[in-house]
Amino acid sequence: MNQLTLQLMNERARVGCKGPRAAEWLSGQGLAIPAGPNSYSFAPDAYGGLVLARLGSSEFFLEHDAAGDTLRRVAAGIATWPPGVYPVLREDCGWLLSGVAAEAMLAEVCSVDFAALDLSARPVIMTLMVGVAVLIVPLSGASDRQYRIWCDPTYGSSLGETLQRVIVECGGAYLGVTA
Amino acid sequence: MFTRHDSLRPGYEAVIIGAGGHGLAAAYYLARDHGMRDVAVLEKGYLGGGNTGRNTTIIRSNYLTPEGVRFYDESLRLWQDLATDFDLNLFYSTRGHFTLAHTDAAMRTMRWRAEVNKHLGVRSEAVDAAFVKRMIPMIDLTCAGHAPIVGALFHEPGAIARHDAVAWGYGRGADRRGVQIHQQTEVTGIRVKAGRVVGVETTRGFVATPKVLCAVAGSTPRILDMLGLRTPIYVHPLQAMVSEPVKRWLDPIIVSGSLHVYVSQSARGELVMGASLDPYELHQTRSTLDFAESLSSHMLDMFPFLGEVKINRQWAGLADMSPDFAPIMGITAVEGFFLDAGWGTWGFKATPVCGKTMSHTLATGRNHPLIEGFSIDRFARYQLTGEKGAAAVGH
Amino acid sequence: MKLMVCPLNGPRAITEFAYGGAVRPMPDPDSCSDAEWSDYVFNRAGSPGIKREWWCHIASGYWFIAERDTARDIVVGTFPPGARDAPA
Repeated sequence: MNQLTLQLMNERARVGCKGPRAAEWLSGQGLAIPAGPNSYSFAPDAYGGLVLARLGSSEFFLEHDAAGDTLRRVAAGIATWPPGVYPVLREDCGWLLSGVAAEAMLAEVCSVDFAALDLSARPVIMTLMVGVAVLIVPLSGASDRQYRIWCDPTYGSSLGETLQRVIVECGGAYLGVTA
Repeated sequence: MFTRHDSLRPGYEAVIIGAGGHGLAAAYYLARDHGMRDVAVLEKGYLGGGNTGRNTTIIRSNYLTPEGVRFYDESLRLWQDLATDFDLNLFYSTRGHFTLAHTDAAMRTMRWRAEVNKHLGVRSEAVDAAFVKRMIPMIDLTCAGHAPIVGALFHEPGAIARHDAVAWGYGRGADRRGVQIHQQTEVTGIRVKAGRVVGVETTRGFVATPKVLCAVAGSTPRILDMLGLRTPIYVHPLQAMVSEPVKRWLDPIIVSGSLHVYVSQSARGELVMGASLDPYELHQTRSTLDFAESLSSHMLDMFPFLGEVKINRQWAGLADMSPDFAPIMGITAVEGFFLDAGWGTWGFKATPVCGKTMSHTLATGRNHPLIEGFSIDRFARYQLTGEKGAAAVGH
Repeated sequence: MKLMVCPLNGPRAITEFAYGGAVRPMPDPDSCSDAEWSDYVFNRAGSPGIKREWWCHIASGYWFIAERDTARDIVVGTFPPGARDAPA
């Protein structure tokens, strides 16, 4: 297994919403709502699992395999403007960073100590990565952690090029688009 | 170099708070041009130890508003024969000054500034990238691909000078004419009776005086609080740094608003560099790694060959900023209290003309015509003197 | 001052935050005088001391209140915006 790899995740489905009743509405769709701010829920399924991240208290970011239909259904529901629920356009660029050296690599681009994170609380980290605002969802893998990194698409190519360079300098490999 | 006075006199014709360039220049011209020699300059620290000794010594007059251009150009003219006046080498060195434009919008501002400047008889030209390269062969015109240079405003009279010597020159000139300079003397209060200044309280006792000039840069709000005067002044640190000395390769002064850099090479070979204000209010002169890091990276965008050059020193001054990037000068609502403030990041170049105009204002009790656009009451009238477009770097 | 504790995101490097200026109550524009309005628009309390300010955590777009001692360069405390009147 590689010590450190980076994959592009732009193919995944992403949906966002916010508002005073967003949590209640998402829960009504049968989704598991993370209890605290800046945490996520992970619902395993045939498509590798759905991530629902709570950003602050009343904004949500959901991502799932594009082949699944859950997010299509959620997006269609949000588009009907349920009271107190507002759509948030999410066209984030995403990368999957994994390998035992991931924390060492993150230490070179962020000022948050990811090695010290307690994953049992399922934290969502919003921080700056080489100056770009990112949303990071750390998932526990079989033998390492996997970090899903999302950023506004206007910074996508710049951040992507930088991460590709850094990953190579850190002895890792860029694998391109997720298989 | 200066007379030491054991004690303060019980009273003076005028008291100047702050023995920086501006305060000492005012004292010098009061004594020389207005015959006012019964003057004390009170300094809580040491002479020239504030922003006078902390700036990056750039002198230019390529401003944007007619008020600004006239004012700074008079200053530039005064600079040129100061050394003779003082009999002291100021190391005044005319280098030419480039304000780089990295976008079409910036280029439009450069053309605007060039036209305002030329209209008022100031030598400034909008120039293209090829001219920049000819004058500064070491520059990477693409700026590492981030911010290609499209042209510049070239201001031929742009110069640098030795800032300490300016304070020493004015201080010695004032001292020789009878002005008393008291260092280690802090003003702790200003006594006012019936709306008129009657004296100042100091750490060395009370001094009676009908006229007070406040020329204390980053400490201005503290002095104004003593009088209950409110101004828009807010204080942010401005950092700067110098490299180790290297062989002379950079003749002109270079400013890039987009890259947040200004740089010149001193007579000793050091690169004297500055960037933008620190991003939050602070009354402390600490240095930060963030500053050194971002300034260095932008320097390398323009001059990649400097990668191995070391930084020797880093420091900061306290900039008294105004919302329109013009100073706040002249008479105030308190009779006998005069202000020379709001000099933010741009005060060094104005030292001589501030001394000239403030000494006139103090002596006559009326604002000098050159500073009318800078009066404190312009804010209440919503008549700002918008000089932001000519700030050295984007703030 | 190298770290600030964001009420939402926890302790972060100061470079992750943007300064939003002092918290200043706005006079009623319909009833205040021109002098009061220009005082509000332009004038600032520029002396050193403990200041109550707006700050924003850039990566999350979260605005909150911080109290800083501008003479000593330390953060005294941070509060969610709803707790604007939290003890100093």
